[in-house]
Amino acid sequence: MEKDPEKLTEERKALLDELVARARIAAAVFTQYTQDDVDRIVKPMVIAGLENAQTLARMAVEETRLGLLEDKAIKNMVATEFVFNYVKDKRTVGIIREYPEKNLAEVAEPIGVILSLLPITNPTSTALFKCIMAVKTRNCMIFSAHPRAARCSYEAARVMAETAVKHGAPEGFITWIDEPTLADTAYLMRHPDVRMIDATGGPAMVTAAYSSGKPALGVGAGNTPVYIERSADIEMAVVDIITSKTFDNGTICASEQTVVIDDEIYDMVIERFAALGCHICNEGEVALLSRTVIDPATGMMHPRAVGQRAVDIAKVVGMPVAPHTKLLIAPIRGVGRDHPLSAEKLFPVLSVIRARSTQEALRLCTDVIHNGGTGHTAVVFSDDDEVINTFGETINAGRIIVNSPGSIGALGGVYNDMVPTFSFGCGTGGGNSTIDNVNIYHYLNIKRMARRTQAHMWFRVPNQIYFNKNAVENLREFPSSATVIVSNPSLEKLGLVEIVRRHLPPGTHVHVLTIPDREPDRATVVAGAQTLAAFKADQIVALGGGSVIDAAKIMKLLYESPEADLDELSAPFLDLRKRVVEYPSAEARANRARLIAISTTSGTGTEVTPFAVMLDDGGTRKITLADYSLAPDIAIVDPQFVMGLPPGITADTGIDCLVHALEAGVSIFASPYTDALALQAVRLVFRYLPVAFEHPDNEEARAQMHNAACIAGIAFSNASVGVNHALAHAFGARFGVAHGRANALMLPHVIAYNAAVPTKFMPSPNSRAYVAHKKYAVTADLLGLGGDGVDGKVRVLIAAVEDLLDRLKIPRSIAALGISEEAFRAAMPDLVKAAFDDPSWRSNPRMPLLSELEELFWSAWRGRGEEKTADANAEAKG
Amino acid sequence: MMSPNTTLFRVDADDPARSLAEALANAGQQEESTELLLDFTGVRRVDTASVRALSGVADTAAARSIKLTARAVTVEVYKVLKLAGLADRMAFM
Repeated sequence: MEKDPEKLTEERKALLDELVARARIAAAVFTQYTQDDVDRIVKPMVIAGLENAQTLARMAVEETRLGLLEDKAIKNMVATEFVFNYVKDKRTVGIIREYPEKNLAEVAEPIGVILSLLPITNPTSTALFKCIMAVKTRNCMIFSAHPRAARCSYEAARVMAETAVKHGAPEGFITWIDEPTLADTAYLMRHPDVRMIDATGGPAMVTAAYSSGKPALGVGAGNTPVYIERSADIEMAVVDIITSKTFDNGTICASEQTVVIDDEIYDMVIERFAALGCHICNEGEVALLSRTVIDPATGMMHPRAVGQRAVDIAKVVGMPVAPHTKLLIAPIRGVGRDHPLSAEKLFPVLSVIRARSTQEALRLCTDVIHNGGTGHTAVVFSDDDEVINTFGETINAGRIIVNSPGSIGALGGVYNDMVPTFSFGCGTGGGNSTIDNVNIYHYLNIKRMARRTQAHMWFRVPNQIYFNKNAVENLREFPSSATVIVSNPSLEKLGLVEIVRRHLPPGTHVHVLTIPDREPDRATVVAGAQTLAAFKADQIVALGGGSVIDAAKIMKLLYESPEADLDELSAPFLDLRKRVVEYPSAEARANRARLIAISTTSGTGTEVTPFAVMLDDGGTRKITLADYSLAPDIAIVDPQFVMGLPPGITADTGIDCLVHALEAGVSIFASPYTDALALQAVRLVFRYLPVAFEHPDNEEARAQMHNAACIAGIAFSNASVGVNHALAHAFGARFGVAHGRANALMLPHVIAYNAAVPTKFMPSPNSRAYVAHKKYAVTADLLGLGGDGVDGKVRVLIAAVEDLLDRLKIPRSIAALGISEEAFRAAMPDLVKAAFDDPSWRSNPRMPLLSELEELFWSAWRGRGEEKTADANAEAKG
Repeated sequence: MMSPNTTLFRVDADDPARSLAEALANAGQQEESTELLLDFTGVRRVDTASVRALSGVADTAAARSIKLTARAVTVEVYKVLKLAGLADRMAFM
């Protein structure tokens, strides 16, 4: 038969083109049909199929000379009734499934024109099945039947198509190639208007389908291994296998091929096969079958044996058997080319093999399925769930049939609740695109309609915050048998540690741990954790600025979870809720200690935050830890501890507080809860920071700045910070500049940057618009700064910030710190890299490009007072 | 605004196939027309016969260099014309 489509006549090509053109129009028209429309059509089709089941079966047997009429009639009924039972309530038009909790919906889109190949082994049942699939999914199918089964296949298609059109289906939605040739099929496989190939057929056709370059639903050959394990119900196993292997004379590709039997029960199983009408072959008969029903040249089954009765096969090969013999049972000794009967045999010859252990049985079953049937079907009979599960995990088969017949079991819907099908996907192992029982969903493009979701937000505050002068007296409320006070030598010298010690409950065993008066490093926190362990601390009082309290947080982490790996816990992340690393859970901690934070500066807010920063790599790199388990249990915001702060530290820490509030205000995680706190903190800073700076003894100013720092801390604990902190962390670590001062040097430039139209927007499901500039404007209004329009208000806010910085005598530029342009330029690659690696900017409203980070650094180096990029913003807005 | 040489043809909402067949016959007879305007007002669905007839109209219009325009086409019908390869052969308004 001609296979080359190029050799088709022009007349034949025109005929095939017309076939496709008609199908294309029908497919287009089908898109208008509703779910009700298609369901109204499917039901009478199913009834027509049932009414014609026997007639079509008879035609199939007469035309193909394969199989049994009775079984083919049953298959036709399964292909209609059982399939209908599965699809009748399924939505296949419009929105087919909704997941309200995920804001997701699935929408069906038909494929269009499908070229569908029909097999010789199950011609009418497969045609009936596919016609139902076509209507239910609003697709059009052009059938190409096996040449030796064309008449019966097309009759089945005709019955279904005529019924469907009578009930409203578009004319021409089912068509077929009269007198099909391989060249016809090859031509259609490459036709531009054929959208998919549905190849239920022999390996050559499936390969051709996949080679066409079109999406294809090719299904594969089987070679079903069966394992009868020692705990199995032998009677049930034998009856099921006979039922299945003789069904339609073994033409279903899921039918049993080689039965692996545990040694202990082997003889009993063989005896039962014999007792129930099977012929057990002797060695000579096995050899005879091996060279007759299997083609020695290919190692594959002989086509003339396919679908024949056992007695007829025996007669042809010259093997005397009893009349009505159901199966020829062939004991074999191995699997593979040297054992021809271990191949697929779509006729009633069944190989059996003895296994001395479960392990050997699993190996043999693996060998069988990989001998031409990978991904198809496997069967296990056992009463042992562990054996069944191991079988399922070991054997690569799309259908693992348990304690039931392979062929009828794999069809689905009869012995189990698998999806009914007449097309078995074999997965990649079988060279297929699916391993499923092919069903309606494989004939649809399922579109996902994803509505916008909002990330769940949170607002957490420490359990208890005590504030105002002498709030430290509340320490008496917390009983402890062993308290470690973490502080630094300066504060101890000032007598502040003694104040704390005095307010601890009487009888508390107290140890004072002083650490260097600088940002903590790894050695400091590790040593601190060892001290806590040695002292068996149940309470830690951290008295100090950000460095001390951060150190105490990390010490507590290491004390409670000695296995914690700081390198791992500081790994980068994009979203706190989805990050890779997990902090030790409360339940997993070896020790528990209450952490009370008493801040001695008014800026970091660390007494309430879940963050801790430490230096690493010899002090050249800052690493940030972030987790709510780090947040202190109790914060004491007592202004008596900040009355003696020198002006420089007052200024730097106060600006740190302002940056926290401003960044929390414009963060992508900002919420109405945090906005209120951020604005209040900004208001307090503008009002009281200059007073505290210029009049250090002013108690009200000190108290309000202390409150502002804590309030801003709560705001940014929940809304996070932004690019200002990323820049300051990188710059501060590289040049040894205090955190607050580094923040101050960046601040005016960052406000201008965030207020401009972003080069790149930060992905943020909770933001409906870019609002950073508007929020700065609201801040300017709150401060009563005036300004015209949003841009004008941003400009006056920047000016107010610059005035504040000047009033606090903060240098105007990085250059003013004595850092030369050359030194800064040399450091720039590292600065940009460190800033980009810093997690702080992940919540910034504007996503910084590396080039923008560099420009911001240079802006800060040149200093404030120059024209800001907010003007560029105004220009961009035109 | 219709030009003087535009022939308007209303597609019957109840029987679009028949009326499009008429349009096909009509298109072949219009000597002066430079544009054939098909009015789909009220047409909610088309069948295969309608699409085939419309395809014939498009063929005839192309052969006679007549501009083919459709108006008031629903998105459902437009999708049919698109999938059938007809949408690119006419203008829509």
